[in-house]
Amino acid sequence: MKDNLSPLEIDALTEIFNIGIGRAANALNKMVSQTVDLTIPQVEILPNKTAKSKLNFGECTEISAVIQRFEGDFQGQALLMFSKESGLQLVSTLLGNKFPPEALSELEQDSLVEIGNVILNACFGTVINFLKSSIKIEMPEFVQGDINKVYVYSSENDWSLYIKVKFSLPKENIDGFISFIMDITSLEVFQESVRKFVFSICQKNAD
Amino acid sequence: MQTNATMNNIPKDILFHSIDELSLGVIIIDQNQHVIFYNNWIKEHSAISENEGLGCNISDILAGFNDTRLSEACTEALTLGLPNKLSNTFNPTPLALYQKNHFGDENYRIQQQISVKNINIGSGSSLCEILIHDVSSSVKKELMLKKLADENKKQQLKAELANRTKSQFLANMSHEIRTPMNGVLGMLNLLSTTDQTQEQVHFTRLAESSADTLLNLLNDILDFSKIEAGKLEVELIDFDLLSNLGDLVQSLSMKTKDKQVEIILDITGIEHQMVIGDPGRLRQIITNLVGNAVKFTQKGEIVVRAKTTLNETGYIILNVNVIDTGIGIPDDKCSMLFDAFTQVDVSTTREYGGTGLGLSIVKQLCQLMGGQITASSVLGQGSDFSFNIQLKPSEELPLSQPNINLSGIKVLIVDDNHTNLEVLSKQLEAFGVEVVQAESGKEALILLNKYEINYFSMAIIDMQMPKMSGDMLCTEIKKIKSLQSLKLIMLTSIGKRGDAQHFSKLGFSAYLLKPVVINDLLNTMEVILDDDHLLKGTVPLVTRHYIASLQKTDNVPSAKILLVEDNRINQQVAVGILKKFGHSVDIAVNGVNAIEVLEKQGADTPYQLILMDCQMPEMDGYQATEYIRTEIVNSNISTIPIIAMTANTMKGDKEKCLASGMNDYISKPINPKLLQEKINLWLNSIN
Repeated sequence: MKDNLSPLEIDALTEIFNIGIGRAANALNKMVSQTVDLTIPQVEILPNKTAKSKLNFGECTEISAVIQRFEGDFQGQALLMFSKESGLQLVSTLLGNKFPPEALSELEQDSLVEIGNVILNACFGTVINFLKSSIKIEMPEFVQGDINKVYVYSSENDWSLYIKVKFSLPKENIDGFISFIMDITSLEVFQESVRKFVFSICQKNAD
Repeated sequence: MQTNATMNNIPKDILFHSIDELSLGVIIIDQNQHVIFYNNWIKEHSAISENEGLGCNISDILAGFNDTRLSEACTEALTLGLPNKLSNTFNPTPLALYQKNHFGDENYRIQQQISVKNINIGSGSSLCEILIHDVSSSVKKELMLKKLADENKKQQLKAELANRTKSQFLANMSHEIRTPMNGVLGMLNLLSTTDQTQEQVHFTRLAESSADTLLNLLNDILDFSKIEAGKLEVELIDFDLLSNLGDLVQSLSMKTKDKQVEIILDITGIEHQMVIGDPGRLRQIITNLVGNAVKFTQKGEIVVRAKTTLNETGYIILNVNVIDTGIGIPDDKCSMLFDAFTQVDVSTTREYGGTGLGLSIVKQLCQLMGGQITASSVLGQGSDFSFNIQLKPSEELPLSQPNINLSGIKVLIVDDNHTNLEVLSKQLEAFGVEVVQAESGKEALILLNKYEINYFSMAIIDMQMPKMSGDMLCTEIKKIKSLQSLKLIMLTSIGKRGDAQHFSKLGFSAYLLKPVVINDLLNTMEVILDDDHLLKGTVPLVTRHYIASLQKTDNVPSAKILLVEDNRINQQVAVGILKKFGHSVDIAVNGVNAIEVLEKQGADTPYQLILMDCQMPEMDGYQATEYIRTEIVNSNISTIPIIAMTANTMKGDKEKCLASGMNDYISKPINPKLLQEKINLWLNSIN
């Protein structure tokens, strides 16, 4: 990548996603009886390889992920990932199950997909709204497997928008990870949109 | 064959009919959320009749649409193009769709999974497609499965609880059994000190050994149930690894006195002498493993090899191998050795005895101390049990650091056992001693001839050797004039009465029992080489006891002791033991009585020590101690050392005793030797 986003631009990006994720939390709270707080402590743009290692899943850790592909102004795939245990824990807490199951049943899998859908949509919505981008988004899919099966990218040169999400539930905290895996051209377009957005805000403030 | 076939040419009515006949619900709405299409499935599962509601808002034909997430999803799809998948689980009020012919009957409302998608038709305006899947049957199936799984889980929890309760019961029972055992063992101990006929001595000894075996079994069961109940506790105290292992192996070698088996302790790999850990539990593990080895070895050697390493997290890893030359274990049985209630061969129980719990307890103890245990074996050749545990480095200095300068001393070691030869040489070489090894008496004589006169200061000779035994070798050496000043140390596996005189007469300067503790050997060597003794002309035969008497000169005073104990048999046991040690004892039957006695005692002859039972009627040991420590004003009384005696050895008992103000703690059945040690310790501390 030729030039990185400035700290100010990263701040803006974090804020944008925080707003989106806040909406997602609202939507989630309407869906379930539990209160869920969602926060984004971290947004970064990283080479895929770095982002992958930053996910901190072991080679053998089973991961549950919800994936939505997108194309348009920029293209790639968005993933929401949990360790299998965290995914199970989240679903069973949100569904109010007494005993967490050992594996996701088909319906529970659908529930996780819906949760992922809500959260990823919130991110997409933000990008579309704030960055005035035009993208076409596919239906969510569920993938389970180790990191190499879930976190797939075509080239080492690709970049990821890496977002860590904290789910604060009444009894525990669960970490989830969002990654937008994009090719280099898409990333440049994306960064350009972020710059434009920050510029327009500064402009407004100056007026 | 058509090469440029394209699906764009498919006639519209084919597309229409196929969508209309789909076995899932399809609704299409426009940007204003007006219905422009619904398929046959929707009609069949709702009250909508042909062409009803077309062009109307979707909420007009599907009641409740406005309140659902579906309406939000449609808005998102129409405005932002976001697709939504609505699962059945988070959809509390599904659309008013019912199974065929059951419209309006809530029992037949369809469980739905809904996909909402934007359709881009290119003209700038967009449409939204709603797809409804019927998931009722899967929901029903899963509810059933979930119920089964929950039931299963509940049963499992119940079973675990029952198991814990059982272990708790077992622990309590063991405690109940230990109390009378205390009486039995104590009485037998006292009985053996009375005047008895030969026959009575024999019977008493048999009864004692049976009671000991029973107590060991009981301890196994108690330990096992404590582990099961999660109540076993590991202590963290500073201890001297070398002297602990030395003492332990020496006492274990008593077990082999009827066999041709030699126990060899190899501690050359121990680099950390003072450590923090649980010496009692370590003892228990090694005792168990060596006990097994002795049981299954008729001939040969049992090597206890210990070494320490420091790992990167700052822990000392103690690695111990117990290697025997016994009957061995079949390969496929090695892994199940450590399971509770299993023995390699059920018939072994009859031949060799044991509960089959020992190794399982050992394994749990190793795990509790951060390590593990493995076994390997060759059938008919022997077994190798290897375990490791984590210890912490201690900052204390060893009590008896050998402060001996033996460097440059030249010693000949004669022993037919190669392992022993190696171990002993390595240990001595660590202190700068120059060692020459001989594997037989004959070789020793050759070597002594070969080296110049007075090259060796000393020869260490094993007694039990084939062809030429140690005493025979000694006689041969004494015949040689030029070797008059060579000092001889005898090592023997078998200690008999009269040995000392016998070896002294032969010309040995010292004799030590195998396995030799290196510190003892070093001390012995030093004493023998010390010229003072020679000058005075009083050369005593150096034995282990002599060495011990040189090191320890603490005089054990007799004391006035108050015993607080409600059980009459236990009273007699304790009084018997204490009197044997020369103490005078008074008895109080409970806490209240104890306080009365203490308050009445004469100021000139106060009690020096209190032995306090914990469970007593009226006022128990904890309450009594608290009272003595806090309520009694006379500081001569309120500071008397109190040692608790309790049959409880559960987690937290020790803390409970100390918290109430007691100084120390001894568990029942009372081990006379241990009791004496504790009494001496506390009497010395006040003097």
